[in-house]
Amino acid sequence: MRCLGPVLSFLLSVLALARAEAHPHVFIDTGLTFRFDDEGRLGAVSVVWVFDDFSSMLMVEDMEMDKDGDGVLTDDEIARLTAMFSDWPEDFAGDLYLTHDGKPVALSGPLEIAVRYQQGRIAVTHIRALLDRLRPEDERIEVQVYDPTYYTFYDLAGTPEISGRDDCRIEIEKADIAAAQRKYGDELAKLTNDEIMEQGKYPDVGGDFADDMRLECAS
Amino acid sequence: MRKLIPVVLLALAVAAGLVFWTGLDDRVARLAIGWQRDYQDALARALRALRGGEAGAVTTFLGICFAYGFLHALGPGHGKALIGAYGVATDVPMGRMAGLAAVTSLAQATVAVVLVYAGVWIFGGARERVEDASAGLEPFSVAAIALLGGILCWRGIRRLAAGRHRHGHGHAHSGSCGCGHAHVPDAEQVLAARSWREAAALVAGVALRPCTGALFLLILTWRLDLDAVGIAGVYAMGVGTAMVTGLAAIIAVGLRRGVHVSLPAPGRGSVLAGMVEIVLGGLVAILAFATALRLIQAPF
Repeated sequence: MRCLGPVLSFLLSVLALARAEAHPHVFIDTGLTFRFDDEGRLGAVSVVWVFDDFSSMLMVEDMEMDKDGDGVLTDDEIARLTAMFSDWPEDFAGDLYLTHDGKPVALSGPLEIAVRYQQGRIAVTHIRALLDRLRPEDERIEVQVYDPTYYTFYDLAGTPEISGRDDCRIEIEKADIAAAQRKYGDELAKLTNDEIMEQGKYPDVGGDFADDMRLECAS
Repeated sequence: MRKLIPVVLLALAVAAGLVFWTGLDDRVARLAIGWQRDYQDALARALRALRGGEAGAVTTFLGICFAYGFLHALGPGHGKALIGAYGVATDVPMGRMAGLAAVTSLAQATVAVVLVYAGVWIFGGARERVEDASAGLEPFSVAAIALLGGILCWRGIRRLAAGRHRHGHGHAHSGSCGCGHAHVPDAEQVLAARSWREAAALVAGVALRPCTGALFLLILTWRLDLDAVGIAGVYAMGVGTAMVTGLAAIIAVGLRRGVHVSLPAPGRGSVLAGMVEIVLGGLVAILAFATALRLIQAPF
């Protein structure tokens, strides 16, 4: 019987391997700029998404662009991409989440969308305006960039910038990816296929995968 | 020497248990995500080089595919779990088990190729449709896994029953009962047929769940008119995966043998083997049935 222990723990660990595996397929380098107005209130966030090489290639090829393979898109092709990135599906919230004192901040849809294609990577810039402007001195403003379905992994490219004020800085708290992956797997196991396929549900682990940014301003 | 084996096994099991119960460390998880990304970038560069007809591009591309198959297989996955469970529970020679692991990986590559080219033929290569079709295969994979778990479990029960039969009531059945020993001449035949069925379930369970990365790669190479290179690349991935699943098979068989050798008395082997089969097979089957139920709950 004393041999059964190791065998059992081995086989249990083997089976633990089979738990739902979560890993992203699209990687986006994200640049953020927090824009303050003349009164020192946060009015908008500029977002730059630079897609990874492979995903950019997939999109360009899926849309049958860059047929000569010279890495340059025509104006017409850029316009098609811009139209695609302007037309957000109803269930897409832009993967940018702001809270003030823990409550969600309402944001506009994408404004001033521009698409570039450089060195084989698609870069999309757009602006999200705050419907109600906020003063970081009055409320705790926290920001996260993530895909709730974890299909896309957003990486913060450099420190987010701040324009319009020079007495603010951004505190970044790194996410615990391993803990988030475990939670995602556990939550995924609780959903039925019907919920996933028909109702488009996904394990909502919120921003567990994402770094937490906090705006700190001198008051 | 013999006394050492259980100690080593215990240490290995504890280490494996710690890693997989507590989950991978955050740094490892980040590293894995970084690898996935580095691989995608390298693959895109290699595809561009292929498209431009650069010298040595094919070799580089195949090398990257192989490395991806290997690295990707190091992470958690159903293939290694299944092969490990089967290897521990079943008396299969090491070489044959490793060969079986290689077959599952190559079959998985074949399923990806068939799926994508069927998608090209039927849906004109629409990526979402191919992904949906891939998800549609999953219940079949799960069904095969459940079948394998059921077979293991059933065999374990039979083995225990047979052991009790022999040791407990052997004398009572001497002449009147025609069952039991008459089956012995067929044993090898039965064994061969049984292991063929199990192998088929094992291969189907692993192969019917192709990796998304392989599907995307095939769609891209089809779009780029690099079909043959793309298919070769997916098989290179399969060979890379086979290295890891083969290792899992060897470890599993080694573990089973180690436990067998360290058993205190002869005769308990079959009892233990039966219990391992029941427990492992039962767990595999329960997990698979739970997943299958989730997958087939459709609206009516």
